[in-house]
Amino acid sequence: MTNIEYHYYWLHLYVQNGVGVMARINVILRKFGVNIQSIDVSVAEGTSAFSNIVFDLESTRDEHGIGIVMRKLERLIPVVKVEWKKVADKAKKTSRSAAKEFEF
Amino acid sequence: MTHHPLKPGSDIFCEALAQEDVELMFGIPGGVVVPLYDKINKYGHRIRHILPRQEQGGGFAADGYARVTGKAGVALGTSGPGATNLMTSIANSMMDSVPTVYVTGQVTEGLIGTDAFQETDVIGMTMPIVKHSYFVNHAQDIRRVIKEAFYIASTGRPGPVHIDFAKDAWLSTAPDDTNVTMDLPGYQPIPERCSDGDIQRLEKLLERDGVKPVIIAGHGAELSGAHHELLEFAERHHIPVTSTLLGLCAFPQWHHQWIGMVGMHGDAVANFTVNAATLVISIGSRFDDRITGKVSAFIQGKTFAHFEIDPSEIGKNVPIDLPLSGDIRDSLTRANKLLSSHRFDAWWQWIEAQKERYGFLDFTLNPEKNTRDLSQPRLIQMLSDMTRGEAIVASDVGRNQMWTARFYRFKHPRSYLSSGGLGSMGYGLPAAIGAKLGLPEREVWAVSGDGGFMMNAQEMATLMAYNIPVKMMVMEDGALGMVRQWQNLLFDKNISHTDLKNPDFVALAAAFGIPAWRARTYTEAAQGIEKARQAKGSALVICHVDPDEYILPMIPPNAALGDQCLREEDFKRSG
Repeated sequence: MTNIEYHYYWLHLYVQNGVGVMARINVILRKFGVNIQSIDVSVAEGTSAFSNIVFDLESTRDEHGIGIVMRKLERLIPVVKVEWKKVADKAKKTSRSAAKEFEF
Repeated sequence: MTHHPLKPGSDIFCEALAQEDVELMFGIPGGVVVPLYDKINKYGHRIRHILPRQEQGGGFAADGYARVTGKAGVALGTSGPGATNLMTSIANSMMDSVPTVYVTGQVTEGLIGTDAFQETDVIGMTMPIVKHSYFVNHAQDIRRVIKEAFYIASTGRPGPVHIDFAKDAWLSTAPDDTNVTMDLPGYQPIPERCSDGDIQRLEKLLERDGVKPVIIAGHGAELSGAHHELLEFAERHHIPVTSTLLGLCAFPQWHHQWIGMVGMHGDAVANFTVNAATLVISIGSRFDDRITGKVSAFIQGKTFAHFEIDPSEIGKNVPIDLPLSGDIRDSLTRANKLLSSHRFDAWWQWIEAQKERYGFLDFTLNPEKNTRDLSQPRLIQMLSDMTRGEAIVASDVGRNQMWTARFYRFKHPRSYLSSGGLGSMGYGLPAAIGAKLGLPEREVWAVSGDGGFMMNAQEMATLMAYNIPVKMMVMEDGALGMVRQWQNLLFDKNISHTDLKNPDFVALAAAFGIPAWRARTYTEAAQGIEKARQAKGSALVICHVDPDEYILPMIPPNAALGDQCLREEDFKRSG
């Protein structure tokens, strides 16, 4: 049974609206082991050239570590703006309790 | 309203490349790019096309061209296997921040997703290893995409851009607007520029009591073209300067303030100096694991200042006390105006004592182990002396790479080409091809081990086809030497699949019409190098070297810089 401490973050990206933008973002998130818990995408108001994407993220990385991920996201060409913040830590979960949560 | 002539995409592509000042491209045609190749000869007076024998060779050549000229290199492959063969080259350019544009063909849009012949999702494959990528399926987008691709590849922190062209793009027509504007609202080549106040904080760090500063000059200093500014900065403050593998040409190696290369196989003095330093000023280095060794030990008792163009590198590997983001050349220019000078005489006395004790740029730590085989560092020093440090040297990967870095005394910037971050064997010869084509007036050597040489030996056909006078040196030890060293020193001499049975390299070269000489003595080596240099075209010198001449010092994995192993016995003690 492994004790894993997770941190939770809210992320808002203002991006160019186009094919493959989400894939590029996910390349970064996957590389750094960041889990997407929820995602909301909508075309920006007043223009179809841009979109807003809001994520709820789960990661074992602390704020310093997730800051590195955010700076990598900022480097993506279609990403115009990055805003993020840490949200309240949820309780530590163990791998056993996590599995129990999803018992059918 | 301006009337723009209707042109096929294949013509627009060639003209767009010419507009970007592209003079050279490396490519292999295939099914989906035949419509493009139908036009390439028409533009031959502006863009020279070189046909390598494998796309990876073409990619490495484009990379080598870019490193020596500073201009974006261009490589092209067809769809499917042509594109997948470029993967290693693309990753190599990404890891070392080399400005390159990689073009691949793709099946027609109607066939995408049908698992058509030679269809692969190459955009998906390259996403993690490029600065940016594009998929183009119509001629109307070509001008803008080419303009953006070269701009992205060459500005800020350089890197590879990949463009995947569906066959439709070549065949469709569109009005060709040569004054197309880019659409990159999210791209800022230099996202942050440190303030004068930030730079002035460096003064406080340099004036701390008993401070022991060291500069680590990395590839970023070279990419920024900040050679003069770095020299002035170092001289102003009398700070010792060490280089990373790719920063070797950023600071003059003949300078009394240069203390050698730092890192896993760096010079002992450089490693001990960085280990003892209390203020580390990184100029364009990213604190790669090969430099830091064990990070927790590396950061002990040190303050870090980091001149860096890419904010995402600051604080990534080590905590930075003073981030100095922005173009390095600009930042150093301002630093040279804002900061007063300093001296660190006691610190230099300590460094000189290390040089006495451990030797410096000599063979103190690398005595010859046997008289049967030649010693690689001595051969590299011989090459350096005979070329007076003036050559461009493209090394392969492994011990030959580390010896070249340690013992070739480069005189000029942008003269050492090596696959640093990716460490891809087979890099040396094709990179040398690109370098020679980029700077034909310079003498160019490819130094390889026998393992790496065979990985792209087919490019000797490219040398032959285009009469490209690259000089080659192969360190033949019958082994994958660096891996063998690890097996010997760290895995109880359990040699596993690192023995090589080689062809007759002289005969192999002869098959390509390339003269070759075998050297088993230093006299033969000197004669071989001289004959190679005198040869009009390409030439090859094969040196029979000691397979168990360990590259030392070596910092074992997860060890601190200060725990570098200077002798074979040190490995037993390090456990």
